[in-house]
Amino acid sequence: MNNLPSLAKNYRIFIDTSSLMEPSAESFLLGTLIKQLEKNKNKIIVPFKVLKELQGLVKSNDPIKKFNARKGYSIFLKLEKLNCAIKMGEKGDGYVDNLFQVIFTKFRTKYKLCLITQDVGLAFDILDLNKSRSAEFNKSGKRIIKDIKAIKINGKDSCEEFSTQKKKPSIPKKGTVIKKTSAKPFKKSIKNIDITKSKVLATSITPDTNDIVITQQGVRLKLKEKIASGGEGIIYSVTNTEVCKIYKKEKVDELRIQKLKLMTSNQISYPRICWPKSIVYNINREPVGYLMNKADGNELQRTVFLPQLLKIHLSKWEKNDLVNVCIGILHKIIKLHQCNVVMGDINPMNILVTPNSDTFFVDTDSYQVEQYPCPVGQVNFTAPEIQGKNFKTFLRTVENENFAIATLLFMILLPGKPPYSHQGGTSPSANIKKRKFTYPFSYIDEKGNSVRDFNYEAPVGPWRLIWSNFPHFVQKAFYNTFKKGKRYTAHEWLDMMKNFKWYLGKKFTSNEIFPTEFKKVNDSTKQKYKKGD
Amino acid sequence: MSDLIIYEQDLADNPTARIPVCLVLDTSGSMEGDPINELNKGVTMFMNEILKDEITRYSTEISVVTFGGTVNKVLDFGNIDNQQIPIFSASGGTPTGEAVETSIEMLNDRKNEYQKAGVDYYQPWMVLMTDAQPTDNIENAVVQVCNLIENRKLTIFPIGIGEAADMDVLARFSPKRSPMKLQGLKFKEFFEWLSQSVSIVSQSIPGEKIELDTEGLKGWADLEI
Repeated sequence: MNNLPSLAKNYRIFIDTSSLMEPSAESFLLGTLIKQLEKNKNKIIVPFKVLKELQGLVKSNDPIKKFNARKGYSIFLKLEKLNCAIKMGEKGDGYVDNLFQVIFTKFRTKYKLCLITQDVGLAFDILDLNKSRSAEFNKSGKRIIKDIKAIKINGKDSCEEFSTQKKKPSIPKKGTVIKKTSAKPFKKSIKNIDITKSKVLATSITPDTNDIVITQQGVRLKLKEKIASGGEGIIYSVTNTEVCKIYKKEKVDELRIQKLKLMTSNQISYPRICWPKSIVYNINREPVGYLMNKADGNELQRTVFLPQLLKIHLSKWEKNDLVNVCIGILHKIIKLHQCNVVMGDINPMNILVTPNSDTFFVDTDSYQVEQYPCPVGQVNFTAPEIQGKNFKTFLRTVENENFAIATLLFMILLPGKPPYSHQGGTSPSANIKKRKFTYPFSYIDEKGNSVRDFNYEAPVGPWRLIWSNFPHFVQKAFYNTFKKGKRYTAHEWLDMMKNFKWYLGKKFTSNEIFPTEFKKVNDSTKQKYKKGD
Repeated sequence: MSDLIIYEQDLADNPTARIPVCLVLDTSGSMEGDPINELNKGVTMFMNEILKDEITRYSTEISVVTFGGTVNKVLDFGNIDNQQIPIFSASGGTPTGEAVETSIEMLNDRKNEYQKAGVDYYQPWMVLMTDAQPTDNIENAVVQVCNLIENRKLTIFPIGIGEAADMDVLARFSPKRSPMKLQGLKFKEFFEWLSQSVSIVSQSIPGEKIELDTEGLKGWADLEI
C-alpha cells in the first residue's frame, strides 16, 4: 500500500485487538508504520477496551491466543513508550466492535479516520459509515464526512486497504426453504477419497462467544456460551435447542466441508442423533463449523465408565438401566446402518447419557458417509483386522463396526472394563490382535462334548462376578465375538439386549450392577443347559 | 495394613487405563530459597489439577522421588484420592544417578502390579528436574533410561533449572528429544503444561500415538537444539 505516508499524516488511526494479535503486527507497526508516525508526530489510538480484551486473552487456555495477546500488549507498550500510541477510553465503553462504530460515527465529520483491523466484517461495517445518508452531505450539498478507511496488516511490513468494491462471497439468500424430506440411504462406496491431501481453507476469523455465524439458509446466529471444547474445536450454545461446533482454523479443510455439505443435504433426523443440520459461515462467508441439535447428559466415559462416580452420581441405577442404555444406542446404530452410515469412531466420549438412561450421539461429523472415511478411532474399539491402520486411508466395513459395538456393550455392562484386559496383559492393541479373552465360558461343541474354557487370567476385581451373572446367551455372544472372531449385527445385539431386559424383569439373574456373589445355577437352568441352550 | 488394602482395591475396582508419572526432583542444597518454594507450589498445583478432572483423576498415578543429600521415595504410586501432597526442603548433594535408578525401579514395580491385576496402562512418564551437576555416578542410570526409551517403554522430560544446570548431562538421559531449560523459576507454568498433557493422553486409549502440545512449552522454555 503506497498511501501509508498520507494516512500517517492526515488520519486519526485506530487499531483493534485482532490486528495487535496478528503474528506480523510487530514488524509492521514497529518497523514500517512507526517511521511514518514519528515523521508526522501522529499516534495510534488504542481504545482502553482493546487493552482490557488483550489482558483477558492473556489468561486464555489456548497457548497461541495467549502468546499473541501477550505480544500484542507488549507492542502497545513499546509504541506508547516511543510516543507513537495513546490509550483512550471511557467507563462504560461497550462491546469493542460496536465501540469503533460509535467512535467513527461521532468523529467522521471532524477527522479523517482509519481503522487497522483483521476483521473483514468490522472493516465493512466501518466503511459503511462513509455513506450514511443523514450525514453525508450538508444543506448546501457539500460532503461533510471527511473520509474513513480500513486497512489490514497482511505481511511482515505491509498492509492492505479494504475496499467496498470487493465482492463479498455469495451465500444462499435468507429465507431459502430447504425441503424436509426423510433421509435416503447414502450411496455405498468401495473406494475412499484421499482425505490426507485435503487442502486447509483460509479462515480469516474463527468466531467466538458473541460473534455471528450464518447458516446455509442465511440465518444469522449469535454464538453464546462455550459448552465444551475438544481437539477439533469448540461447541457453543446458539438457541435453546441448538448448538454450533466451530472448528479450529487448521481443521477447516476442503474435504471436511464437502463431506458436511453431503451430510446436510441428506439429514438423518432421528431422535438424539445430533446430525449436522447446516454448515455455518463466519461474517466473511467462510465455512467455520456446523449447526446441530443440542445434546443432553454426560459422556459415557465420565459416567458409566468410571464406576467410582457411577456409584455416586447414578446411585439408583441397576443393571436394567445399563441394558436400557445399550438398547437406546443399538436403535440409533441400526438407523445409521440402514442409511449406509458407519459410525467409525465409536467411543465413550461421543455418546452422552442422561440419568434417565437416554443416550445422545454427538461428533457425528466424523461418521463415514459414502467415499468419506471416518478419520479417527480408539484402539479399544478397533477390530483386530484393522489395528494399527491409519483411519484416514480406508473405508471401514460394517463388520469392523460390529466389533466396536460388541466392545461398547461389554464396557457398559462391565462398567469401563475393556474386554481384553487381563492378567499379564501387554498393550491393549497387542491383546486385541491375539484375541486374548479371559472370561470363563462353558458350552457344548458341535460334537456334543461339554467344553469348559477356563483360566485364571481374568482381571482382578468385580468383573468376574458381573460376568458370572450374565445370562448364558449374553456370555456366548461376547465369547464368540472376542474369542472366536464372530461378529453380530446391531440387530442381533438388540434382540439379545431385549431378552436380557426380560430376564432381568423375571429376576432370573441379579439386577445389581456390581453383584456380590456368583450366579446361582438352579436345576431348571441346568436342565435347559443340557438341552443345549 | 489398611493402606495396603485401599491400594489393592483401587487396582481391582478402577477399570480406567493408568498413566504412571514419576517426578524425580532435585532438592539439593542449591535449591534452597525461592527455587524450592516455587517447586513446592508447582507440585501442589499439579496434583490439584489432576484431581480436578474426573478422567485424569482416575487415570493418572503419581510418585515422587527426591534427591538432596539422600534419595527418598516421598510418594509411592496409588490413586491420587488417597495421597498427601508432599512438601520439600532443600539440602545436601545431588545424587542424580541413584534417584533415576530408584524411579525406574518404582515404575517397573508399578507396571508389574498393573499386569498382575489385569489393569491396562500407558507407558510411564518420568520428569527429571535438576539445577546442578550430579554428585554421583550416572552411567548405569543413563543406560537403563536409554534402553527403556529405545524400546518405547518410557517417556522422559528432563528439565534444567537455572544457569548452573548441566544441560549436557540431562541430554544424556534423553536420546530422542532435547532437554528443556526452565526459564527463571516458572515451575507453575511447567506443571500446568504437564497436567494438560496428561489429560490429553488419558483421554486417548493406550498404545495410540499421542501428539503432545509442545507448542505450549515454547512460551517459557528455551528448546536447546
